[in-house]
Amino acid sequence: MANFNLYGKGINDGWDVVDAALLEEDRTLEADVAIIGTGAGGGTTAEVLARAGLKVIMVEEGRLYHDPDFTMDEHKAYSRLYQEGMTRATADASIAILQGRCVGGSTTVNWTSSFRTPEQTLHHWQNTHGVQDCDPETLAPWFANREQALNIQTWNVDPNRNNDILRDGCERMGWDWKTIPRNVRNCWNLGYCGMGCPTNAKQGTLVTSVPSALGDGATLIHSLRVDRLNHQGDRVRELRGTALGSDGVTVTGRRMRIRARHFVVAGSAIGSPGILLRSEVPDPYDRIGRRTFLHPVNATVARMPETVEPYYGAPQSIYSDEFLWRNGVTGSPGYKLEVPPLHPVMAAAVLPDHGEAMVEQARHFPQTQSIIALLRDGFNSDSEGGTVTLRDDNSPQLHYPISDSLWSAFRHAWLRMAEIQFAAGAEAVRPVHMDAPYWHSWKEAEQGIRELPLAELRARLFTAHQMGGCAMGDDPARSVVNSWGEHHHLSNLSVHDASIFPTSLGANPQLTVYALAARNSHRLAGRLQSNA
Amino acid sequence: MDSSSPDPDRRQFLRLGFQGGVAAGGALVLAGLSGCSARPTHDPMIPATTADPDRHWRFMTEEDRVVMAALLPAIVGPGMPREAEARNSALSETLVAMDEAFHAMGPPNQRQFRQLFDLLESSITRLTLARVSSYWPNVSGEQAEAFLQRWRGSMFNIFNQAYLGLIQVSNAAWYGQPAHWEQMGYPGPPAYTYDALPQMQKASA
Ligand SMILES: Cc1cc2nc3c(=O)[nH]c(=O)nc-3n(C[C@H](O)[C@H](O)[C@H](O)COP(=O)(O)OP(=O)(O)OC[C@H]3O[C@@H](n4cnc5c(N)ncnc54)[C@H](O)[C@@H]3O)c2cc1C
Ligand code: SF4
Repeated sequence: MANFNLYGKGINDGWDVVDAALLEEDRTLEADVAIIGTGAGGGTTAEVLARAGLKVIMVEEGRLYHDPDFTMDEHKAYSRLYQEGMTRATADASIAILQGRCVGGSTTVNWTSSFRTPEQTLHHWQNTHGVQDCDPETLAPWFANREQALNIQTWNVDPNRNNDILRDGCERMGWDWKTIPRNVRNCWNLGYCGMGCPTNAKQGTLVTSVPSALGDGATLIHSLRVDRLNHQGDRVRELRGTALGSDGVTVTGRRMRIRARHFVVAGSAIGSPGILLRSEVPDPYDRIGRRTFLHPVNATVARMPETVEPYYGAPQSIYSDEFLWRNGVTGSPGYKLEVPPLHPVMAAAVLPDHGEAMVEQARHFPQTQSIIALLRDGFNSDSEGGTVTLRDDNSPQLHYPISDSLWSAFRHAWLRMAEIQFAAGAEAVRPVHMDAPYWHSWKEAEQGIRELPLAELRARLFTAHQMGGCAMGDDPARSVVNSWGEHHHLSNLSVHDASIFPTSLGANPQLTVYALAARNSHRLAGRLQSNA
Repeated sequence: MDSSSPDPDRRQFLRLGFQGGVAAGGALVLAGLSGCSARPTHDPMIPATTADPDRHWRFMTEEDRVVMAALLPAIVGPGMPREAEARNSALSETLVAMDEAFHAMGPPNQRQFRQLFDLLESSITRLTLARVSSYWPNVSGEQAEAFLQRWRGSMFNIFNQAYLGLIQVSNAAWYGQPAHWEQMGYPGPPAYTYDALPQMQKASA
């Protein structure tokens, strides 16, 4: 039986959870370590440091929502649990950005796929980006450590039809496919991971690391946005935060300051560079916010003769790496193939149509299957990624130009995805593109895709994996933090999240974030204990 | 790179056109304050404006609701009930869902939608950029559809973006309502979870 109302019970047992929306006056707190963000990086860091006996305060901009709130309701979930009510996008609106903003961060809403960092990527980081001690052998124990803690295992239940079609199609084409490892315990195979897991089966930080840290005496402050870190000389003195109301949007007027010996920023890509830019931390080589990567995603949808019900069952269980390294590590970008879950709001927001055209697709929704390609950006020379800047109101924004090599990879991916869907028996296939109709044969589709305009806002693109912007590496001219996430210029500041990746990964990022955060936090705990 | 993206001159022109449009809208607001508004005023026959009159609208103004009441039937298409009462209540529930979505977006995206609504509501930009010739309360289904198709098919990114913004918020608000799930053949969360999960018992109670 699932363990329901985890936080209700914990708070009764004395967990220190503060809802900043309810603050009646400004407050100043002190701790050994203040951690900003409670997602994959921040949550893991809190677990390790609190277990080491340090006094930890976790600060989260989003609110605390947990199983009693998770009713598989898209409207509630998207407006409460995602950045900008799920309308975050790149500055020119060409790529929709799905990113979590709640206790547990993106791990509260992610789709549970759990991969180790590809070996090619780790070698590339070591050889090209000057990252130390990141070879597969050195990191293996850290991956194993998190795989055990989060119960990461290959999914041994039959895939839902949505995923099965990817497998069937690849099988028929003679292409690689494999089963995905997932971070779940007693999963009910419901398919609502993106709305917050209603059974607490998903082993995100919301139900693992954050409760563990709270049990070890840490404090969690949610609904508090960190505005800046005040620093002097080579040290951060305090963080300053603004309380947000129970709607998650309105500023209440209450503020908090937290003083600590050490500060860990884990607001993720876009968020962490935003904090560092607002704080005007030393950045002599203008690296903060540069080289932000997205695993940009394009998609096809297929109309199948059979019922697919893409809304039920574990959202991702099959993948194909057939094209991931197709041109070598630094050749034009390869991609990973996966499947997205589809529910009415998600589908309605992704399909760029209205009126008759939309109704026609709605009518076939239960027979709809979709494949996505996640492009491996940041490895080849024309893929420099995006840049985070601050808007007038100081909120972070990502400018991400789509390079020529990415455009041609998108076209390649639409072709291969359509081919897979027809091979698996699709009646019609359409790239998610404003100018694409449904084509009824592979031949038609092949011709049509070759002629599709490669243009912003015509192709509908999205990202669920934001990485980089505070790159790690040993050369301060090319990176923001060193190979252990320690800031090059401020001695008591670390970054522990997906923003430290020097490129994208070529695999879904959560396990890489967990493993690096666990390793870097053990090192940090040692440092803090030895000069206690 | 691609022949369908506008050349730099046209982009520049468009940017000027857009800013000019917003400035013109601003001038009209001032004109309105001094008593000679060119904008449509409250029309009690428009269901959107009578919907839930006591509601505290967080983002959408009455004029925004008038615009969306004209566009939603074209966006939703055949899914929109024909019968007046059912149609009015479907419209007003959708506007409420949209208002909540706009609120949850937070200030930066709200500013963009505010600019878009201003542009649609000012007579000058409605005529020149949206090329909609009637006041919104009088816009027919065909006019609304033609406008949506123009912006969808435009070679200018900015209109594509505005089109996508309007239809995404509308489609999400429409299809997210349990009453409209059946239009997508979606049965909702698995039936057994309503008994098996404590939070679902509460949600359905
Ligand atoms: C829909 C979706 C599906 C995904 N599916 C998968 C998957 O199947 N497998 C996988 O490996 N990955 C998946 N991911 C991505 C994965 O979850 C993320 O890569 C990972 O969680 C990143 O970890 P992080 O610590 O960098 O950031 P996050 O987990 O996003 O946490 C960052 C937190 O910092 C908070 N924050 C930011 N700024 C501030 C501030 N100024 N003050 C206070 N708090 C702040 C944010 O609110 C957020 O809660 C998915 C993501 C999404 C959105
Ligand atoms: S499939 Fe359902 S039960 Fe399993 S992790 Fe996802 S939401 Fe939870």
